[in-house]
Amino acid sequence: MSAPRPYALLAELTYRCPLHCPYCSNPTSYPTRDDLVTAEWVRVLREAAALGIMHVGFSGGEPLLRRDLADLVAAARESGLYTNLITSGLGLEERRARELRGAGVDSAQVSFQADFAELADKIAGTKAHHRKLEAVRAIRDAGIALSLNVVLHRATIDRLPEIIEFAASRKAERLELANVQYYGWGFLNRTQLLPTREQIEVALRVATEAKKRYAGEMEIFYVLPDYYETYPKPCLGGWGQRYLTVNPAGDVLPCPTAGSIPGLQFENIRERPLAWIWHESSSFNCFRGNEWMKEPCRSCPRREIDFGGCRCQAALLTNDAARTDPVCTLSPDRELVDRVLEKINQASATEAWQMRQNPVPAH
Amino acid sequence: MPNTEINPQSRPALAPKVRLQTDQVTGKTVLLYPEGLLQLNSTAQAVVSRCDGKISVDDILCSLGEEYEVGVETLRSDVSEIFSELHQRRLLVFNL
Ligand code: SF4
Ligand code: SF4
Repeated sequence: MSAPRPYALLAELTYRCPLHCPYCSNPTSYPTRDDLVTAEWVRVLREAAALGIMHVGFSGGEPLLRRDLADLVAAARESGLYTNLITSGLGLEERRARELRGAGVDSAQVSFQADFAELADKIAGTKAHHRKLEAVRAIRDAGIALSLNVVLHRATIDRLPEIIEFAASRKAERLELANVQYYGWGFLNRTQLLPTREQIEVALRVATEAKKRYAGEMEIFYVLPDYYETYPKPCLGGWGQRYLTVNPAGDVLPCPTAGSIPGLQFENIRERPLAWIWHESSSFNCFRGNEWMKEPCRSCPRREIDFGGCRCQAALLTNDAARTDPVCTLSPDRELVDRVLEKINQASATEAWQMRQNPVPAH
Repeated sequence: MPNTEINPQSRPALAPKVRLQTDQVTGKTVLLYPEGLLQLNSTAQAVVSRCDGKISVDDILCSLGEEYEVGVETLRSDVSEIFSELHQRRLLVFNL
């Protein structure tokens, strides 16, 4: 099967993070190999640009924990890549922001856990909110385009109006309001995080109204939690179609959470060129196109729209990555999703969150 | 709502989040921004490459007219359409 060209690379520079958000989509068990060193990342960036990639998102974990971040940004810039820093903001003071801007960072996306410190710090599992406010100031002063990202879940979604106002007061050009996606740590905390149907309905109204009100000033993106949707979300434009992820240990993944799919073997940048992995590897080819599909997707007209949904979600919920995404109401497994929704819409679950842990250093 | 009436005296520039880049695969010019990219056709490319924050909308029209040897009036509607689309998508900013 011939591969299209990829457009964007997600470079997960480290899984270490000063925050412990219970909704993190990082894997719950981390790779055991050492993190890539600077020269290896520089090679990844060059090979990515040569493959046709135009965007790189530096992410993690917390990318600022890499001391060589500015060097990597400069290398990306030199290869003509657009660079977006996806960060918690911790560690981004004035000097670092200027250094990164000088190296060529184009934009920064800062996550906030809530609109006020007490709740935000409880979710982050550490005192982070005030430091984020400083980071946002430093980013603006350095002339880096700013977008904010706030993850919505049962404990924050009712504060949507305040969250939107908060983002506007920070002069963000863009606000992403993404409901938790249930992978990694987020999956572990699924029943604690899923909002109720009522919460979702109110939030959708608030977001739609705010989009209009802030048009021209701040762009607002609101992503529904797919558990409440009729059809699944399209998997990043299709498996192995536009995106690739390189994790801290150099494994190359079709999507950031693909590591959770049992039985899938990933190639590593230390052993193979990126172009070979993109074109030839079985991890990229196994769900490319629609040959792999089973019914009901195989004969469904929507298969070109949503590509059968998310492979990671199918694997997480049914243990078979090749099944229809159970979020789809046409899926024979939809019951798996409905049972969870039923449970959380009855009782107000009050179980404690399981906070995200960091990788244990090998030496 | 964003004001789509563009002042002919304003001087358009790329928004801070936007970068103009040549696509190494297709050779085409694209605008890159955090959420994605926009491929420019040749007219849009000619327009955007003049948006340096120093030249006004009117002067851009004149300069295009000279380059393509057509009257400004013939160009006006195409060019305004490009400007208002890029304005609406917040890829260009217009300073007075
Ligand atoms: S397989 Fe699922 S988690 Fe992975 S990119 Fe696709 S939609 Fe996202
Ligand atoms: S059956 Fe498959 S292709 Fe059809 S809507 Fe559901 S997930 Fe999409």
